[in-house]
This record gives sequence, C-alpha cells and structure tokens, in this order.
Amino acid sequence: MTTPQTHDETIDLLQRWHGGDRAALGELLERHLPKLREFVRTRLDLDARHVRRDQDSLDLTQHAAVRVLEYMPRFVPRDGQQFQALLRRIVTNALINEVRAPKHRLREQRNGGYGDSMLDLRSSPHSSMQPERAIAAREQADETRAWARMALEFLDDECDRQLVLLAAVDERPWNEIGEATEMTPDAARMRFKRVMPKLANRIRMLREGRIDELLEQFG
Amino acid sequence: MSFLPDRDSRFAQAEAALADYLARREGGEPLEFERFCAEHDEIAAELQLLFRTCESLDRPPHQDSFAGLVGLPESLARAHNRFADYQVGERIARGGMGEIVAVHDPVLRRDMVMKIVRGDDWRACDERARRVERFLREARTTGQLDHPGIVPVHELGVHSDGRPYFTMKRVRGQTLADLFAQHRKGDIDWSQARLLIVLQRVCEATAYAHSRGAIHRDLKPANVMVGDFGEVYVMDWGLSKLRDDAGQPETSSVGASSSGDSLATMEGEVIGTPCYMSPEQAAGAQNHVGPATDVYAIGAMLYELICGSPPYCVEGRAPPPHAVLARLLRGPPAPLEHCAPRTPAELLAICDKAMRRDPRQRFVDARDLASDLAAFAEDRVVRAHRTGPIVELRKWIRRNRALTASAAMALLAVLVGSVWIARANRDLAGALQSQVETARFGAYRSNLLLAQAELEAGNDERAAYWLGECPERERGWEWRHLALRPLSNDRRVALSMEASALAFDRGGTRLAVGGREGDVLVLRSSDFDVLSAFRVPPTDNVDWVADLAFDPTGGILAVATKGAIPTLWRVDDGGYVGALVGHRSEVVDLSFGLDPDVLYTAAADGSIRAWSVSQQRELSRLDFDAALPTSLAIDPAGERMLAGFSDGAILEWELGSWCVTTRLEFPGESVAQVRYDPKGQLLMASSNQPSADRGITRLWMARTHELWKELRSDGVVLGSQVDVDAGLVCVASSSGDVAVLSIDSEDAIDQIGLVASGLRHRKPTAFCAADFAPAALGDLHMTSGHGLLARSGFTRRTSDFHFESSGNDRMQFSRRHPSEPRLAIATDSTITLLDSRTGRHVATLEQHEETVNCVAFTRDGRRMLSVDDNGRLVEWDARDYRVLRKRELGASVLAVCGSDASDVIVFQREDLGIGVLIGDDPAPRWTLAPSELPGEVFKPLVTRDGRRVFAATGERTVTEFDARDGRPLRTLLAPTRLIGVLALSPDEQFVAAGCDDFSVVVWSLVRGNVERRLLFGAYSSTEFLQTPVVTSLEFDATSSRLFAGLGIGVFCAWDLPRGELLLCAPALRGWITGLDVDPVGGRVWLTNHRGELRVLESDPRVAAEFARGMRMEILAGRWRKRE
Repeated sequence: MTTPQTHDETIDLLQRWHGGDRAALGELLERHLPKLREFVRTRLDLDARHVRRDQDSLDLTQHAAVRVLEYMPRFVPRDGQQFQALLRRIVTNALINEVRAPKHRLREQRNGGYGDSMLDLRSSPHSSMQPERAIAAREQADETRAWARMALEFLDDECDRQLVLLAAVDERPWNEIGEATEMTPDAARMRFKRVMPKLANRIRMLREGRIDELLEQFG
Repeated sequence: MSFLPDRDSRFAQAEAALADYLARREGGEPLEFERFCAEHDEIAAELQLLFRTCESLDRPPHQDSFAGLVGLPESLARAHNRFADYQVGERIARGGMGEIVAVHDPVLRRDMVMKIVRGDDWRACDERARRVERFLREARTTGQLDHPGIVPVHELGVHSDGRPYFTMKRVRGQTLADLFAQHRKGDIDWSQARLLIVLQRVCEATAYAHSRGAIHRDLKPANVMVGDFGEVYVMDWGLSKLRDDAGQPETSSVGASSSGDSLATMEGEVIGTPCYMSPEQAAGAQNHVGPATDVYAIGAMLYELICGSPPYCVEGRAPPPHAVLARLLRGPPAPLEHCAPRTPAELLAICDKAMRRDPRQRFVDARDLASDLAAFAEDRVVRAHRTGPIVELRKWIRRNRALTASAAMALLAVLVGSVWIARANRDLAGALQSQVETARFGAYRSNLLLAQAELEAGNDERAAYWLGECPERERGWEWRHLALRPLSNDRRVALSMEASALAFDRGGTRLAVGGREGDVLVLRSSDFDVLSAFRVPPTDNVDWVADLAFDPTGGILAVATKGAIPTLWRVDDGGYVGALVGHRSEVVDLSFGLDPDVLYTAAADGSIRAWSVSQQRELSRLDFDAALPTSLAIDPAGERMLAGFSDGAILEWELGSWCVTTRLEFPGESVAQVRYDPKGQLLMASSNQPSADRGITRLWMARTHELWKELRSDGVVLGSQVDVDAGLVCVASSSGDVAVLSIDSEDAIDQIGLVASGLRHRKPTAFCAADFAPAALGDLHMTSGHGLLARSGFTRRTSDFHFESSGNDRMQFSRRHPSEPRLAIATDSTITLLDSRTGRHVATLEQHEETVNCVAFTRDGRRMLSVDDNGRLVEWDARDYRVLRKRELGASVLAVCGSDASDVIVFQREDLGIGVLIGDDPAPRWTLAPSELPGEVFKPLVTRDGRRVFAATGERTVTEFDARDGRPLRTLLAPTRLIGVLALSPDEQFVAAGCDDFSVVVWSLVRGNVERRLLFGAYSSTEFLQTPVVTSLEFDATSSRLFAGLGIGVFCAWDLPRGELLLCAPALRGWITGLDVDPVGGRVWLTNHRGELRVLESDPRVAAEFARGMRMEILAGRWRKRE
C-alpha cells in the first residue's frame, strides 16, 4: 500500500525530473497513477464496465500521464493536489479524444528519432552563431512548444486543440493539418491565427502559476 | 473618469483584438502592428506580450511544392523516379529535415524504408536548399559506401512535388542505445563482451568510410542499429563530411544561399550530439574535424558502456544540452576509474586514448581502435596499454588454456595412474556431450530466428533454407508453424506452342492447354506430364483455341476455336469425337453442366445454344438482338446459367425453365467473362473499361445477388477466375500478365508477368490464360507465351489466420476445449461455440444477461464454466452444453477456474479477493481478502484433483493452499515483483507467472524453487509504455514449451527446459485475453478484447481445412478477415 503523498514529495520529484533525474518519473507515476486510474474508472462519463475491463482506457491513462510529464514545461505546481488536478484535466481530454471517430483521433507524434543532433535547420538564421547560442535557441523553441502543449489542454474547443497540437507542437504541414481537421489548409491556418491569442493568454496564465484558475475556468 | 478593467479583463480584450488583427492580416490586409497597438493604447502592453508569444508559435504558410527548388541537381530532376510504384506504409520517424516511411516494392517484393525531405514550411529559401543539400549528402555518402555495416541505398529519386527521396534496406533490430539500456538492467544476452564486439563492428564500418574519405561526425548509440542476428549498421550519414580527391573539404554542390555561405565552410556551425561530440566539434572548428573525430565518438560510446552513462552525464540524469556542451568545453569527463573501478586497465586505456582532447593523440582512425578492441577481446597486447612480461605471460596462458590444460592432465595422469584417466575421460565425454547438445540447440535457435526474419522480409526461399538447416531433433511446434509459410514453389514447363487457353477438369487432376495454331495438350496437373495431344483442324481458316471445357466425367474435352464450330475430343487418347455445327459466327465460350451429355455454347452470332454431345445436335437455343453474348457459365449444381453481354448486361437463367431470374449490369462496358465459383456461392464477372486500360471484376452473392466486392486490375481483361477458399481472384490481361488479387483486401497481391514468371517467349504476346486448380487452395496455373507456370504462394499465411468478429459485438474472451475441437468465444452475453478445426459455427449459448468476461474448461474437458459481469456463474456440461448449475458470485469477477474432480471452483473478485466453492456451496468455503493479494496478479489456479489452490499472495510470492480449508502449504518466492497471470502446467509440476522485469518466472513444484526465468528478448523496456503485463500464459502438453501473451499484444514462445526464447512477435492489438494451445496439433489460438482471433497453425492439413471453414464464416458475415 502506498503512503499518502505530501506536496513536498511531489514537488521534490518534479524538480528532480526537471533536473534530469529519470528515476523521478517512475516515482511520480507510482504516486499519482492509482488515483488517476480510480478517477478514470469511477468519475468519467464512460461505460464503467468497458473502462474497468477496457485496458485501453487504463493504458491510455498511463500513456497520457507519461506524455504529460515528458512534455511538461519546467514549472512546478503548488502542490501534489494541484498536480493531480492538472493530470486529470489532461487525461480527460486524452480519453475524449480516444473515443472520437478514428479519423479524427489525434496521434501525437514523436519528433526526433531522426537524430537530435545539434544541426537543426530550423535555427538556420542563427547558423553563424557560436555553438552555445545555437543550442540555447533550440532549447527555447522546445520550451515554447512545451508551454503550448500544456496550454492547449485549456482550450475548450476540440478542434482548436487539434489545430494547436498539429500546428504549434507537432509542426505538421498545413495540408496534413487540413486533412486531419477536415478543413482546407487555408481555413485551418486562418482558424489557427484566431486561436493563437487565446493560446498565448493561457500560456501567460500558466507561466504565472495560475493553474487553479485555469482548471476552474476551463476544467 | 473611466473605470480601468482589471488585468485579466485587459488581457481578455487584448486576446479578442489580437485574434481579429491576425485574421485580418492573414486575409491580406496590410496592417502594421505598431499602428494597431497605438489604436488600442489602453491594452497595448497586453497586446505586445500576447503578440510576442504568437510570433513564437506561428507557422509560415503552406508550401505546395518544391517547384523551382534551387540547387536540385539536374540529373536528379530528370531521373526516372519510381515513387509511384512504391506502396507507402507507416511513418517510422520524423525529424527536422525529413521523414522515414516504410515502403514496399511490389515489383521486387521487398520491404524497404524511404527517406524523403519534409515538404512543409520553410522559413527561408536558403534553408530549403540547405535541407536538400544535407539530404543529398546522406544519400550520396551512403550510396558510395559498400560495406556490410552501412545500409545500402537502393534508389535516389524525386517525388512528383519535387521532393527528393531515397530508399534503403529496412533494418529491423534495436539501437545500441537500447542495448546499452538492457545491459544496464543486467540482461545476460547483452553482456559487456558482446557489446564490445558491436563497437568493433562500428569501428570497422567507420574505418571503411574513412578509407573512402567520409567522416560521419554524428556517431552515437542511437545511430547504430544491431539487427536481430547481431549484424551491426552505422546509420544516418546526413551530417557526414566528404573529402574531394585533393583532400580538401568538399564545397557545397548546392547553389549559394543568399548570404553566399555554403554548408561545409560555414564557421561556427555545430554538428554532432553533445554527449558524443569531440572537443573540436564543440568548439565549432570544422577544419579540425577528421577521422579522429569519429574515433572520439566511438570512445564516448565505450565510455558509456563501461560507466553506465554517457560522458558528462551522471547515471540516471540527463542534463540539458547546453550544460553538457559547457562541461565538454571546460574539460574531460569524470575519470572512468571512479565510476567503474573494476574495469580492466586495458579497456580503460583504450577508452582514454580514444577520447583524448587533442585529436593527434587519439587512435589514428577507427581501424586502429578496432584493432585494440579486438586485442582486448582476444586477450592479446593492447597497444594503448603498456604491460610487462609477466602480464603478457599470464595472457598467453589464458589464451592457450586448452594446451596448458592438456599438459596438466598429462602430468596428472602420470602421477595418479590410469584409473584416474578413465574417470576423467568419462567426465570429459559427458561434458562434451552436453556442449554438443547446447551447440545443437543454439544452432536450432539461430536458424529459427534467421528463418523468421527472412519470412518477414518476404524471402521465402531463404527462409526455407534456414528452416532446413535446423537440426531435426530440436524441431518443435514453432518450426512446424514457420515451415508452413514458405510456399513459393513455382513449377514451370516450356511449351512448343503459343498457348491461348487453359482449363482444369473437375477434380483438378488434369489440365488442358490450347494454343494459337490449334494444338491442344492434356497434362497431368501434378507433374505436367503430357497425357494426350491433338490438333484441332482449322475452321473458317481459324484455328486459334479460345476456350476449353472438360465434361463432368473428364472423358471428353470440348474445344472452341475462333471459328464457329466447336469440336469434341477424347481426353485419354486425343481421339476426335465430333463437331457441333450450327453457329454462324465464332464461339466465344462453352461450358458443361452436370449432365455430361449437354454442352452450352455462346457465340458472336447472338445465340446461346444447348447441344447433345452424344448426338452432336442442337437441343435448344436463345437468340439475342440487342447485344451479343460474350461469356457463359453453368453453376456447379447445374441449375442455373449465367451469361455476359457486349452491352454490359449479365443475365442468369434457371436452366430447366429457361426463365431469366436475375439481371446485373456493368454500365457502359462489355462483359469479358462470367463465372461461378466452384461451390456456387459467388457470381463473378469481369469487364473492361472502354476509356481506360483497366479491368473491373465484381463479385456478387449467388443467392441474394448482393454486390460483395469490386476489384480493379490493369490491362484489358481476357479472362478471370475466383478461388473463394483462398480468397483470390486471378485476372489474365492482354499484356500477357496475370494479376492475382486478394478478395478481402481488394489489393493486387501479385502481378505475374512474362519476365517475373520465368516463362520463355520469343516475342511479346497478347495471349494469356489462368485458372486456379480445384481443391488446391490458391494454386494458380497460368499460361502465357510459350510457357506454363504453376504457382502456389499467394496464401502464404496458411499457417496464420487473423480474424475479427463482425458487427458491433466484440469478442471478450475465448477458451479452447482441452481435448475436443471446440472453441468457446464470449461475445457480450453470448457464448459461441466454433469447431476449432474448421472454424464452423456449432452452437450459441445464451444463459447470461450481462457480458460474459470469463470462460474456462476443466482439464478433463467435462465441464465448462462461464461468468458474467454481474457475477452469475454457469456450469455447463461440456459435451452437450446443457446447464448443470447456476450460482451468483457477486459482481466484478475477474477469473474462474474449476477442478476435474471434487467439484472445486476458485474465483477471484475485485472486492472479495479469492473465493473457493466446493460442491454445492452457496457461498465461498474460504476466502483470501483483497488486502492479502498484491493486486497486480490474477487468475488463481486449482489442481485437477481439487486439492490445492495457487494464488499470488504478495508482491513476489505465490502461495499453495489446501483447497478444503485454505491452510497455506507452501510459498513460492519470485526474484522480482509479479504482474499478470499464473499458469499451471498440465503435469502439475510447474507454475509460471509474469514478472515486472520483462520476464516470466517458472517454479518447479517438485523442488519448490525457481526452475527458469524466461526473458522477452527483443522487447526491451522502451517497447513498453509501462510495466509489461503478461496477460496470458499456457504450457503445451509436454511442458516443453511455454507460451505467453503480453499486454501490448505480443506473443512469445519459449523452450522451457532450456529457457530460450523461440518466437516473439506482435500478434494482436492490445491485451491478449485468451491464449490456448492445441495439445495435439500444436496450434496456438490468440484472442483479444477487441474481437480479434488469430490462429497460428503448424499442421498443413488442418490449416487448409480451417481456411475453408473460416471462409464460409466470413461469407456468412460472422467474421471478417484482418490482413
């Protein structure tokens, strides 16, 4: 049986994880997954029988939780309770996404695997910089995407969440985005333009640590 | 004075205003942001903040093509590209520059990967050019390197939108990064010694590249692939640097960017990955980059192997790249002696030399490094490490252990005497025998894995070779299962004529082939031995054989030439029987019904006629004015006739009454051929699209005339046939090719052309015919040009059947009867029984009102137990499936198991824990509370005699209880945490359970200790999102094989006595809920909770029978086949 976690332990684990301690990820999952699974089983508006026996939902829960921790930007919630609430919000979105028709289902892709080498043509305008600046520029871009990834969970409209994920996080081409969202590329791009300020505002609130407000307002 | 809204309100206003601004600007309005801010002065600060964030997230507009791409070599732009020929599969990876997708080349029938430049947004024109330049560099570099350790490039081409791509061999295996992780976890398969060999191979491939002037510049564990058989590949040469002949750095072949710089000469460009990057790379000094740079990277990999983490990283921590770079620039990494003090000094010296900060002090090149690694492995002198004479002597003794051992033995023999020698020899013989057996099994396992890989790659012949190399004594179920699969066994024979028609007799034992000049051969199907031959005399100066038909007895062959008079011949001796005179124009088709005396013909004179063969006169006729009949068929029952017409109409008649019963259509097209399938379940018709060189084949249900499938093929259709059992259609076209199409996937699975088939021809021919041999499951015969080919390889997976239940109901669980060919499948609240040999439906049992989640048979096969979500337990008589008893166990029952005798039932409930019922107990006799159970293991077990119960009672323990009173008898301890299910062997001598360290533990109940730990092998922790759950476990009848289904749908099979993995492959999606082993035939059944059933077969006769049976089930709509 697990001992009740304290906010210090969760925060401490998060900070260790941000510091590169891989073992911290496993501990975080061990502490928070049981409650998250229980939440999925009992609280979500899904057929309880299917959820209980449908290991896909539980797998998805864990999968979503792992991905949250992997992409989460380097911020620390107030305590473990807030962290759990954040996980629930994100996992809820992930499960809703999962029960949608397959063609609409988002599949977050893993970028990289093709080499996380330092030569990154996306940063080509800085290619004449010294190495440290090139690395810093890339890290900043990664951080921005991480914030966007988290902030999109607080967009109410599913289509908007799709758009942001595909355009700002996965950086897919517009023709693919159009296909996935059943819009023309131009229409998708227009809609993305309209969503960006909303997303930027969410990012602002997240950076300011106002997660409770976001959860209350958009959860 | 106005009220100033609070901050959030201002941000909300800014959000709305900015959205409007961005949308208008996107729409083309020439708006300036500064002016916009000035117009919204009260929220200007908020607008600025949000705008900056938006800019960092924004994406440039869509770019459709690479049109006008600067710098694409003209030769490449002009090159013929085969992109359209490839069948593109899943995307494997995507990175900053391009994508990697799986492709299949249908011409050469091989799987490859394709790297293609990403076609999405560009920030600048010169970036696009640079991206292409790097891409081409990788293709050219790899294409110029011909080494077993470098993946060959097959083709470099250009997509229709202008994006370059290249194809490469697909490598299946793991990266060195994965193997390092496994090594850190203590995987005995990947010891340090073995990984050092891998690094040697990396050195050899890199050294070869150095000899050809290429420097990788980005060597790291993620760029090294190790195949399933230990072959090593160095991947991703995209950052490589090439020297020209003068030894100078290569200048870019791409046109200069707007700034006038080229990639290779750009100072300050960082290339590499920080942890494995050399100091000169980190400093951006590209002019100092050379072979020693790659040596450093390999040294860094060696460092990671020794230390457990890459240089500048502490174990278990991954600092951000900038931190690693900073440390790298400051100085060397932590000394290896500190993190791996027990490492041999020679190995430390090798690593140290490879990672010297001054490139001139490192190994000269990778070959030098490989040499020292080999010396270390062979206990020879390592040049990087200076030693003395005593150390060298010790090494010499170790290397020549056998020699010194023999000398020692000789000395002892002299001292002790001959008796001692005899004893030593017996021990030696025993040890040698043991080694021989170990070596033989090792050979079996290696050859088996090689065969698996070749089958996956579609190389059937090579797979058959490796299977043949497997020692016969070791061959088990898995060998028989794989041996069924390589089926490509073409038989060819050259013909002296140009063949134009082909037909089988009803039994498929004889085959008639007709030629262009009236020649007809009757051959024995099995060996193409000529039984008889004759020549049809020309009629109307035409002798070209258009069609052939055997009568039902096989004694008479009717031949239609392009003339108006069909002729009749004796099959046995080729003797002339007679001619049927009456038609005024060429006979286009002919067919017998059930009556051997009645032949039906269709002709271009617009008539269909029935003839008496014995009297050689017309019996009846139908005349048509509007269109001409083009094809004719009689159903196998002899009751119906089907005809196709030149206007696309298809009519069906009832033969007795000549009443038209059905009309179907190919609008606007001419029907090329109509057929019934040999069992009369389908109607088939092929037509040709007049506007395109394509044919369409449609299949209708024979009884309902519901259109079932529409298949497309290339070329003008000359003829087509269907083999329903095999799920195949073959279409012969005027190009001389035969297309073989899969009915289920509607895809062309083969295109047998003249060249591919190996049939000889003197000139291109438009004559082509094909048919499936009756009762031979997908055995296609075709004739084209001057050759006859028989090929049976299309149903290559007759050892592997994969279905899913159709409709909305999902199969939840399945269980096989232990001794009878019955499979019980739970689908919602219903239990369906199938004949497990034929797949045919047997019965449906409906006694539950809620979803059935568990079905179990007692080991003696007399009773079946089923339980549903509400906890209703139904006991059935497993012979006649009458209900014996019902009980209510309460909701949330996870598993149930019953003994043979003594009427003991053990079940596990989420809230109750484990309960044991004996006899007519209305409530459990005793229980194990959930608090006493670990929660990650389920499926308790009971022995056949009902005396003992096994259940997981702790994180690492399984307890044996007395079934009567729950008294603990014994505890079995696992080396690590248990997760998943338990299994009891048929002889009740072993218990197995899944563990959370990617293994299965097997206890011996005789000795009470761990007998084996079985590893999952190729599937490392990176394959699992979380702990690996063993969801199904089964022993075979002799306890020599153990089978497991995993939570990610992977199926594994081990040789239990030796503890070796024999098969491991993905089998189903998600959680494998049911796994059964047929104790007699060695068949393995797998089911999951998504309604999928997969059967892995090892008996060819059963496989064929099962295929036919499931085909009927599919036609009945109860199942769908999954490709």
